[in-house]
Amino acid sequence: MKKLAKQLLENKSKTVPILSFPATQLLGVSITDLISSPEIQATAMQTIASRCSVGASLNMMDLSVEAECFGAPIRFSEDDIPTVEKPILSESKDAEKLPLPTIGSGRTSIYIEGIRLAKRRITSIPVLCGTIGPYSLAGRLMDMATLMYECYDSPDETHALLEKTTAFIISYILALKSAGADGVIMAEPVAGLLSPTLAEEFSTPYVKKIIDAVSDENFLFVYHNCGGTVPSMADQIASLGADIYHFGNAISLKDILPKMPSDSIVMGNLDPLLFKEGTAEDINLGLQKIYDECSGFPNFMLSTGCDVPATAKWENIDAYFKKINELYA
Amino acid sequence: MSNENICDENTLFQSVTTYSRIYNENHLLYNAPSSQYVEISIVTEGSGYHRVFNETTECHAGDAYIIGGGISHGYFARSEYERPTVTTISFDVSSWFDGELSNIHSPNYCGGVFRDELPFSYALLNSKTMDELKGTFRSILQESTQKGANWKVSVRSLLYLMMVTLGRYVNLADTLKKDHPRDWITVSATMRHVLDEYGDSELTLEKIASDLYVSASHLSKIFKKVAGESFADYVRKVRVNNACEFLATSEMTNEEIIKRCGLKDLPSFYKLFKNVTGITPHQYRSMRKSKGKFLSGDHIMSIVNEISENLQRGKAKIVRELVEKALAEGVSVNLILNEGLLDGMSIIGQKFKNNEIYVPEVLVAARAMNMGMQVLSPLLAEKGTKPLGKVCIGTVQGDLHDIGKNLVKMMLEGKGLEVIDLGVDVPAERFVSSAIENDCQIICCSALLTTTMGVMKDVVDEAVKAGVRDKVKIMIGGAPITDEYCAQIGADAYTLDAASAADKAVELLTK
Repeated sequence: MKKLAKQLLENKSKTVPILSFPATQLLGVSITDLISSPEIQATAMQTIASRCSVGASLNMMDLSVEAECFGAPIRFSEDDIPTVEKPILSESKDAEKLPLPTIGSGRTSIYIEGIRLAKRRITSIPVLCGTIGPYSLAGRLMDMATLMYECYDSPDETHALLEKTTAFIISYILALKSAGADGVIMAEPVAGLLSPTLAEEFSTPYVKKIIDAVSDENFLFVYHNCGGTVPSMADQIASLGADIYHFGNAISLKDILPKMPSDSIVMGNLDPLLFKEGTAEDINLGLQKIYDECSGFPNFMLSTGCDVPATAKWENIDAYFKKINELYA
Repeated sequence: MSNENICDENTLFQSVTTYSRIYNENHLLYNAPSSQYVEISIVTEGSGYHRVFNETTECHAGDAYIIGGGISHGYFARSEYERPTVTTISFDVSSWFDGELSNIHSPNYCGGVFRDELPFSYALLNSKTMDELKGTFRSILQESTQKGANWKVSVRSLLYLMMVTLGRYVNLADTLKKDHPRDWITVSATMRHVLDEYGDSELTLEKIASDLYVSASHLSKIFKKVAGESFADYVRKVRVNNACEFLATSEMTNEEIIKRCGLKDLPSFYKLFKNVTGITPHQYRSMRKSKGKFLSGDHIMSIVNEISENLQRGKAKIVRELVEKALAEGVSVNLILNEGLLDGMSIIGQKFKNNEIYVPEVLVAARAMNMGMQVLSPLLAEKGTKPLGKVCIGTVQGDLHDIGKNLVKMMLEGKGLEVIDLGVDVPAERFVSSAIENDCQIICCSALLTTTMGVMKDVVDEAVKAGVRDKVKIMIGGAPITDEYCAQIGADAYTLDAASAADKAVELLTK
């Protein structure tokens, strides 16, 4: 286990929830402000790191950045995270003509700079950047249903597309790493919709390629998959070699834990909607349940199941940290 | 003889005509009217004598007699004190024994008394199911083929089985007969007329009514009551059935067939033939010639099962080809739709619900169904087949995620519902206006984002505002949605997954 991972495990009360966008409420800025300014991003990360007892600082999980670099139109909103408006590929073979974007294009420069600034300001805990996974990126460029058809109809062309998304993600992570990131959390949620057979061919090998290309002793790789099919592809995921596996609340963490490598951390999986729709009591009960089921596993750490919504109630977020402190007191 | 010669229940009943004979002085003659018929006569009441060739035996209620081939005949005679009431059923067996029919027609075989060999009782007959019937039929034929047994084994077995089926039919006929004995006899006699004179283009209800000394309006009324169809429909059916035979077994031109079947002209022949069979006379002849046989129930089911199985494997191109092939072979559109395409999607839905398969499998299966539907849709429209219900579906305003919405759409279509896809980013007003414009019974709203799920409440409010809330059900779904939220906003249903959504929609429509 890498040193950074060991440090996280040594203090389980300092968790790594996927928490970034609610900082807009604390800063009084819009989401558009946040995703457009490296300075605001760094400030947001710093604000959360100082207010919350986290084990690492995460920048925004903005899964539209990479697709935008490829030319996908993005819908921006003051109060919602950006999203891809429509696909730019109608079939895999179109990917052949798709130029590989340069790093720095689109909003990648903003996020790279945001990490650089955050790393300067946050020195006590690791700073993690975020990217989308290769299959999920392909699903944004093409639309998910078409991509799934293409896996059956044009596997060679689909592989060519995935080679392209993989190459870009590798370059992007390496650029973030150069900017100071201590690790990356890569979200591959669409793989969670695939059957194990398709995932084995169209997601897992490319994720593995990315992990091999960017990892080193001082760089943590967090694999996030909040799909419901994770249990059926547990063996594939376990073989990826990620330092941390972060799972969503669509699955039972206690069932997946025994299937993951004991020298990797497994994090999860409180329903993120509770932060917006629930109460502090719901948060407490949810955390307690997961804790009761999973705390027997030495490599388990509590976390959220996915991204905490930007409009989450801060009293619920505070309740999360309070409860965790109680559990590990 | 292969299994494919086994007829299914529909074929069996379609091949049956029934009539009772009026006694001519002291005896009742029965005979198979042409080489494609086998006749069975059952003594339903009373007793008397039965005579075939030189053999005369007493006959009693429950006895059955058979005649095969146009030249064979037998008769029933009254006893000193009473006479038997006899129901005679005529089977068109050409569709059962393609290639083997000549065996039945053998002039050396003219029938037999089954009383001693195979006790014939209504109790036994009523206990038989069609599956048992077919199973027994199949095993007897297989045994007969394997042993090279002489044809009589098969024929006798077949006839026994016909009698089993017949018994069920006779029970029905008997009820009618008891309730309306005079009507039943009149209608039976009318049917006999039609069978004998279908080639007469001047054949009319009035003419037959005159022959039977009843009024045409009375005959028309009782015919529909007893036969369950109008006189005109019955005549059309008989003519088309005979046209089928001529197409299959002769080189007659359409013009000759039209003349032989008492039909008017070529356009009306084509129209009538297609209405009844679903295919054109030319397709029918080609099919019969290429296959050399009628489609058996087993054969039809093997085709539709193949469609269902390939749909489940997502083989869109193959499904399309199979649907086209099935239509060309004369399989009905509804059977292909219900037992092939919708059955396949239903299995997919169930497997998805049980986590046995994944989203991509559902997508490719639905695509395969759509390929099949492209072939069937024009035919369904032509037949005026209406969908089970109409649904408009969309992802709510502000939300661009469509995978969940698409899955639900596919599952709904897989249940035979017509779905109007409003796409993504759909404003609340548009859900409601589309539902009104398209006469939808259900609105389905999808949302993935917590920030957009509030639009679902707007949809409910809009439906109230437009005054259609009591006419349209509102279903909601998506990752952040819960039962509690559904109740909170006043929607009608929330389901966890796409397959459950389709089940729920059907439930709402059929409530």
